[in-house]
Amino acid sequence: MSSSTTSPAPAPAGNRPRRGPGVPTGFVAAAVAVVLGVAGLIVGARDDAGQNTPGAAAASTAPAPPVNGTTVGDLTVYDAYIRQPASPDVAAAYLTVRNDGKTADRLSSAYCGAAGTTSVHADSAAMQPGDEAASTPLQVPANATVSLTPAKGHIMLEDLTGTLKAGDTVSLLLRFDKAGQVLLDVPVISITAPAPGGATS
Amino acid sequence: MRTLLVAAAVLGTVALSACTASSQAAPPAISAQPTPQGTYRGLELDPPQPRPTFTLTDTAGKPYDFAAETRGVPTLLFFGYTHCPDVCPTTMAGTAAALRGTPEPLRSQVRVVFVTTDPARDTGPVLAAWLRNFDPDLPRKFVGLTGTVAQVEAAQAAAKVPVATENGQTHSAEQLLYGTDNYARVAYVSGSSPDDLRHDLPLVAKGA
Repeated sequence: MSSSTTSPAPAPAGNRPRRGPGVPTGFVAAAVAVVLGVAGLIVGARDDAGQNTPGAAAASTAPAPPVNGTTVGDLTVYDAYIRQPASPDVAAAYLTVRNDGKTADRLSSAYCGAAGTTSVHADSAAMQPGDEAASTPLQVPANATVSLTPAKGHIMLEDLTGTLKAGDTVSLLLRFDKAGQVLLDVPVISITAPAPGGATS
Repeated sequence: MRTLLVAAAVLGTVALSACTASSQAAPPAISAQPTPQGTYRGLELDPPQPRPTFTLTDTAGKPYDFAAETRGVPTLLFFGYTHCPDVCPTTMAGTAAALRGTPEPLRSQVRVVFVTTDPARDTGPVLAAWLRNFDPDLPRKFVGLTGTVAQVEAAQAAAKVPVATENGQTHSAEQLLYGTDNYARVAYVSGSSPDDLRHDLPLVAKGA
């Protein structure tokens, strides 16, 4: 959801999605995860109005340049971070991309020296069950802002070459189809730190 | 399992949150029934789900009877795996954050149980080391449980969450919160704010 420009279906504040009776259990459990995802966005919008929630980020194309952004072509990448991993083997990087251009772009691949394997796992409406292990490019539509946020997309760092601790900085190379390559210095934040930009989690 | 995934897709949803690439939804096809004045900030479960019964192995290698160990106390139950880069650590970090903001004695009462969906890799010591990243300052340590694949799948079925696939890497995103009345009336996913859980904990502690 966060990686598209589609805002969640509007719902009046105070309305709570809930599991309805009469739906087969297997389906119900399935439905909950997704409904919850929408609820999370709604709650985020309510509690953090004006902040950079995924929904708000997607809806906003405000021209104010992010202070911590790195620009390549028409793209600005900002609020990048890696949360200190609890696992010794795997970590995830999150970021936001703003496209001020008139053409769509795509983040297809990434490279990180701190990991043996780096792959982009963005959400995709085209993703089918069973494809979870595959890398999914992050689509960056024209004049739009998209984010990789927890549970909705990330850059996966596998086979870590060392220990990542809060306070470290990791070099992350992003390869966009049109804008080209950009090298970021990504901070590692603590397991409990709030995410940069005010995004949930 | 495949049937579950396909059924979920038909509904316009992907039920299971993979840590390698997480769940996504077009506008949900399910009718989300609004409640004008929700009691909880998490997702309200209707009907409520009874506390499940299963026995697995804790990180010390001892049997852990979930129903007996947690009966009558607020309990958070989540299924995931430690090699998950995203959903699982986010969920456990959020849980810890919510508990840090919860006053005593409730903070010490709440049980947090993490059941691995990847028992081949998540041995007791691996689970314990991973969980200690989140709860070092909390009075009650998080409980990590493992078992055979059949056992952890049975536990998921007992908790009425979709059974994980892909060697446990595609798993339910639900974290269930059972109250003192031994029913879960509310659940969470990563991405929901720790404030929501902190808000709801005292409610389920009162048996609301």
